[in-house]
Formats: sequence, structure tokens, C-alpha cells
Amino acid sequence: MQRSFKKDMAALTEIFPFLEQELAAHHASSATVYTVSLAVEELFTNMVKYSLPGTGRVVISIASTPASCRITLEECDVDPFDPTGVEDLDLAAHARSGHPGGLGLQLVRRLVDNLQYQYQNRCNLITFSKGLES
Amino acid sequence: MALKTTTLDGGIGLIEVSGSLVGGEETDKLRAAVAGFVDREYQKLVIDLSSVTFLNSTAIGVLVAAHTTYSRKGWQIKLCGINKNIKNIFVITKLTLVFDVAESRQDAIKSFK
Repeated sequence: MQRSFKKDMAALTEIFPFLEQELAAHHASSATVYTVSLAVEELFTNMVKYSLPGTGRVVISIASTPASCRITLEECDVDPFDPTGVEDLDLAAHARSGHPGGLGLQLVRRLVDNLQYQYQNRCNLITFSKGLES
Repeated sequence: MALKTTTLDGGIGLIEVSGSLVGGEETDKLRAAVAGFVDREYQKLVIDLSSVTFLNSTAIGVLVAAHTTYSRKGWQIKLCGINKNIKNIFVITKLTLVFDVAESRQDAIKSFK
């Protein structure tokens, strides 16, 4: 299942129900729905705030196996940005240091499995998976 | 999101947050509420998240900043009422090592030294 969303923060009000509905159809646990929603929210927000406008759309795809779901976010006509290349921080130490910024991608890296990145034809494709029972 | 601030006996400030905390105006209100208690020198603060359904990294950043401000002053700040899904995020990210988290508001209040 895939759906295109306007590259705008207001689209989150459509993205959350979309994820909830699709993941519920695959019998995902409440914890998985929450974790996937948070990861998608962080990645989508990053695209809205820091990427070029590009086509003005972000396509979110959900596929699943009996045990896990696989989520892809795709934005096109943009410069590359690899979220897997962000330095891995000790979050507790980072927080104690008094620098609360930059948490979004750090959260994503810890919350999801198999975070992958591809840049093809000026499109950023970010894919991750998550166990449905997590 | 809705936010309510009150004061309790013993010089304790209380911030009750409800709904979804995803940045922008919502987190600005939380940041301002914390700053208000700091300005009035409330050295004990409870942030009750029992009615929060969703929070993102921006909101966590505000909580971290509040914790840093209070800790550097030698003051105390406690979170309480965190739901299972949010607690799971805190555990995975090891932010449970940073925050002082109580199950309930009463537990948080009782635990102040």
C-alpha cells in the first residue's frame, strides 16, 4: 500500500491515521504502531524542514510479511541526505551535556530495524523495518 | 495539546500536559511553562504526562532542556504518568537514565527530598 502526501507538516494529520489503519490491518501491536508512527514522523519532519521542496510530495509505502512491516519514504527532485550516515551518539550523555537538539534521527536509528538509504534519480529513498509484535 | 500549570504545597510546581506533543506551538508552551517556574524559583517541578498520547524528539528535547536547567541549579524535576508506549521509547533510547520518572503524580511528589 502506498500513498502520496503533501510535503508539509500539516500532512501529519493524514499520515498518522494512514499508518494506524494499514498497520492495524496487519495486526501490528500498539507498541509497533507507536514506534513506526514516531519514526515516520521524525523522517518526514526532517524532509519538510531540511530538504529542498522538490516535487512537494512524499510517498510513504507499507509492505508486510507475517512477522514484520517494511516502510519506505520517498522524496524526489532533492539533494541527497543519508540518515544512516549520522554519527551515533550516546543519547543519555548527549542529553546530560545540555544539547537537546539532533535527537530525531538518533531516535529513529534506535527504534527501527534495517534502516537503509538509497539515492536514485535525484530521489531519497529511506527504508526501515519493524517487527509487528515488537 | 492542552497544558495546565498549578502550584502545590511545599513549593512544588506542576505542569499537566495532555494530547499530542509534536513541536511548534505545543512544545513552545511547555518550554514557556517550565521557564515560568524557573523564573519564580520553584525548585521542585513535576511534569505529569499521563494524558499525553504522542511525543516526538522535539518534545523530548524540551524535557531534556528542562532537566538540564533544573539539574544545573541543583533543583529537582520529575516526570510522571508516562504511558507504556512512551516509556518504551525512553527505555530503548536509555533516556530513563537521564530522567527521574515516577509512576504517578503522588509518587513523584512524595519522592522529593
